Amino acid sequence: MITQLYVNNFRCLVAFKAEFGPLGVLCGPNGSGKSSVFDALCMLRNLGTGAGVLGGTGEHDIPRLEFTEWLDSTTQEFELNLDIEGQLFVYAVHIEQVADYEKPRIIHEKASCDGQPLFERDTEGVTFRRYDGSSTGFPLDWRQAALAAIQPRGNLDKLKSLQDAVAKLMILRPNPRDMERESRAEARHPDLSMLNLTSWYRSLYQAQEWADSLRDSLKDIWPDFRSFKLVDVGMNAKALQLRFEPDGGKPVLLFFEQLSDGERALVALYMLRAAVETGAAHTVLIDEPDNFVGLPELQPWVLSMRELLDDQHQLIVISHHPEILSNSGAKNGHYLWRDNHTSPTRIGPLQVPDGMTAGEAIARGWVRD
Amino acid sequence: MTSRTQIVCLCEGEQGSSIDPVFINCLMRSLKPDWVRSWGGSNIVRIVPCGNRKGVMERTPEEIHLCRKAGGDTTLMVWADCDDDCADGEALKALFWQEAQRREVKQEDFDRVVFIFPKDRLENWIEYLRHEQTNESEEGPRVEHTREAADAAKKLAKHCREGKPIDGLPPSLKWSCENWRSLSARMKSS
Repeated sequence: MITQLYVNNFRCLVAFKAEFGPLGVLCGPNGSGKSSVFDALCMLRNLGTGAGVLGGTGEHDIPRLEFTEWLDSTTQEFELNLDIEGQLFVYAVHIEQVADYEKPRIIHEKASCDGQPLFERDTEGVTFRRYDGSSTGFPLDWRQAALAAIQPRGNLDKLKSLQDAVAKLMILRPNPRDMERESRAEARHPDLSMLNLTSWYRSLYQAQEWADSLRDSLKDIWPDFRSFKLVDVGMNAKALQLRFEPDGGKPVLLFFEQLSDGERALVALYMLRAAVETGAAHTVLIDEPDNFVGLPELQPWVLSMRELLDDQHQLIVISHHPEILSNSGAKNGHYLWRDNHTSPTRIGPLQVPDGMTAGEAIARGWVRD
Repeated sequence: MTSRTQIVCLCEGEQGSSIDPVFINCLMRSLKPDWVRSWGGSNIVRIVPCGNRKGVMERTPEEIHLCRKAGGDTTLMVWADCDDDCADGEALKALFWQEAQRREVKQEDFDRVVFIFPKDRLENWIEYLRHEQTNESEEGPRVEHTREAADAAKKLAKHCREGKPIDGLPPSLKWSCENWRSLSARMKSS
């Protein structure tokens, strides 16, 4: 579970610090920096898992750094605190890009568990301790994160826990309109827009517990839903098909692409729920899960997610929707704002005045001192 | 039965920080009573948090009128804590009836409401469901996570579905279960 995030000199995030519990709802005006918080986490995850490198041009690479416009510094700082089974892990990365024509590079990287260092890295290389306590190290390409480069062996099981937790961070902005019609291979994780939803389904559906959880949830909202099926539609290509059968009625088979945008979004949201319920995901961050989803469907989904949350299961969402905001409040709600376009993002608890809904209070801006 | 048949639950709970909506939603969905509308759907159970007990009490007559006007056989459940200012469920129900009378609610409509009053608060029931004991004369221990509330709700639903008598039920839970059973019997016979 993410307990704290610190970001400096990334877009409008300047010395920005946010603390999170099992449920977090980020809200605030457009341009206040909510999505930048998720993008910072996404960048950190991609670097930390080796999915992306600095200065590259691949899908997950970071070709250049996005600094805060009004600052002169050429260094970005990120620090992520995670509670993993009661232990506090801290992972920090400093990245530098001295000029537009220079490639960005990692100048400092460090990880610790309950205050004990796991490894440290600077421009000279990476250092860490072997199982016998002696110090060792290796030089490393400045564009690459050490967290992804160290092979966890022997006494490095804590490093493995951190690597797994970072890899399992699901940061999503579901876009049901462009979700794939057919899948060519399994995908271990959904991509940012969940376009590879069928490929992700292919990697999960063989876990019976996950499949049961998903089917039961969907039957709750669509009483005529019966089952999923992966159908061969070409060489190594599979499409997802849903079977509906009203009581006493004739069954109907619909391909995933034949569902409405809202229905596809619901399948995605309940796939995530099943992933959290069965341990395939621990921390899920969703940018506007309410997009495309009908009003009657929202409260049941939010409450069914809240049923699963504890120290090891976390949901953080960005939302403007009153139905989701009403599930936040001062304890879980984080209000983000900026005073103008040259001031940094500020964050505070969502404080709703008595007698007013969260949605109404935010619309009026009556949520902070 | 009309198509609006559903369950509306008024409950206590500050915005977002309360375990009550999670417990109630999980319980009702696990129970899946068979009289609710046959076409199901997400909003078959609608939870309406009203802040505190006073908020629930003020909202109840309004909701009774709304349900009547909507014309459906909506089941209205009212969840509130029986704090130390009320001896038991009947005493708290009498307070709700006073407020309802003031707002011109008819006796027959009031009698259809299902009152669920944990004493001293919902945490006591959760403590009982987790550890098979609780002291209703004191506030139950704070529930750390909503997952604990949901797990307790599922356990209560399982007991309820099995329908076997349970020894040592906290008095307020027993009283509330009887209210629920009366509703079940009434709905099955109608």
